[in-house]
Amino acid sequence: MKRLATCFIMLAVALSFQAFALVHDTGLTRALDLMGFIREYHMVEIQPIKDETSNHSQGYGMPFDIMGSDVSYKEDKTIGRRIATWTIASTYAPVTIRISATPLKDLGQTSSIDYWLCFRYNYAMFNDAGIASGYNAGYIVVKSDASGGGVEQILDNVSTGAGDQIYPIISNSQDVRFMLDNYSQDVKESWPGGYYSSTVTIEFVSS
Amino acid sequence: MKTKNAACFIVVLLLSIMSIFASSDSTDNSIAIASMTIEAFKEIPTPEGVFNVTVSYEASGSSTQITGLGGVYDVSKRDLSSLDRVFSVKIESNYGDMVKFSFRFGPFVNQIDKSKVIPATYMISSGSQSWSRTVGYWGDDRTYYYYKFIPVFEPNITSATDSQTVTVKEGEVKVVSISWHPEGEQSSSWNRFTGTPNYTPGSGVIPMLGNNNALKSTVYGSLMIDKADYAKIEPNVDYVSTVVISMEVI
Repeated sequence: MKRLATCFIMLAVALSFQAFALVHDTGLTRALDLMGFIREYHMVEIQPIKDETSNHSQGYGMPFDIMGSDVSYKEDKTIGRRIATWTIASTYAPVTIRISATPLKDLGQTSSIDYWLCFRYNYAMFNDAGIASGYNAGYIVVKSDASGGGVEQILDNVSTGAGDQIYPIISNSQDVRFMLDNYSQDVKESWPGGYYSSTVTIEFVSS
Repeated sequence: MKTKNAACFIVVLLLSIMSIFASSDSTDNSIAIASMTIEAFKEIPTPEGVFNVTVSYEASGSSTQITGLGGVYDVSKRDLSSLDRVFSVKIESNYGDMVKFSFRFGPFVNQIDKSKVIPATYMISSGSQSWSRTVGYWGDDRTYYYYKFIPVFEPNITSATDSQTVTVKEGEVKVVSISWHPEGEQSSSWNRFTGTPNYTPGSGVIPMLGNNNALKSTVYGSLMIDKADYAKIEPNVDYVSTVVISMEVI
């Protein structure tokens, strides 16, 4: 019984580190996010990056100028402006990720602007011995869709050995990048000035 | 007792652990959802836009003159959605001339990229014109005459669009008002004038104008840019619109 209690105390101490780590972000204190799981665990988080410079000249984050060259259309959809980070963690594998995004609209709802988002991911793979055997790095590209459609992608982390052992998927603070769809300059100039917004939704489902 | 305490401790720990996980909205055993709002903007360039309004003229006849007078207007200082005087043209013609005006209006042209134009709507109305005063003249009766002249258009131009030429009905250059005072009176005391010169404003023959019987006035024009076109205005770029006014003596 003593051993069991000690075990729980150690677990509680470890979880407390995570809880406190979230609030230590000032002064000289340096925080470390410890992520631990008990049995099945599933989480997704997207963290917007704020550009709080007076003229939004930071070069990344939001809000951004839709007329800027850093958000203009390019063939390579993975190199848009960095606007957020996202984290996924799961003890399920494989998992299905569904991402949808509504078009950007001005306050008067007179303009609807389509765009592309690129969600990068990167998580460790393991072999049957439980030793990290490399990384699964890639990206999910999604185009905004007024009808609510999106993309769906399956991420897996099953060892390639005979054991077929399932390992956690942990992709931490990876980039979310933005670029406009392919619009002509004339069309861009016809958009009214002002504030634009849209919503991105990520759904993380165990398969 | 020790066993009971340990059991209580375990329950408390389990509840604590559960509460830590329950505090996160994004945590669920089978599904997790997160969302974010994308925020963007497009600069409203009108506070920095500057319009140059240039007026040119096409004179016709030696006795008829038109001189242009344009202006530079910072759109941050005015509301272009309301019609207002934004350009003026000085005209001069002889008393008694029959004249016919025509106006040709241009769009605002981006001075860096001439292919970019912004449509404009123009207005020139007789009712919005100001009185113009000729130089005073001492007549043979030693009365000081002071003439007032207003250009009259028929019909008024109320909604001419760019690239459109508008011709108004010809009219006679005539004086519509005259003031006078005898020699020795102060101009500020015109209301106390005595005597009646042989003249009825707007008709008949006005008293001698000497060797110079030209009447001068100013035609004021207004324009409007649709608010929907504001977004097309590029910051720190001059836009020039040209209005050509022809006055023909017939």
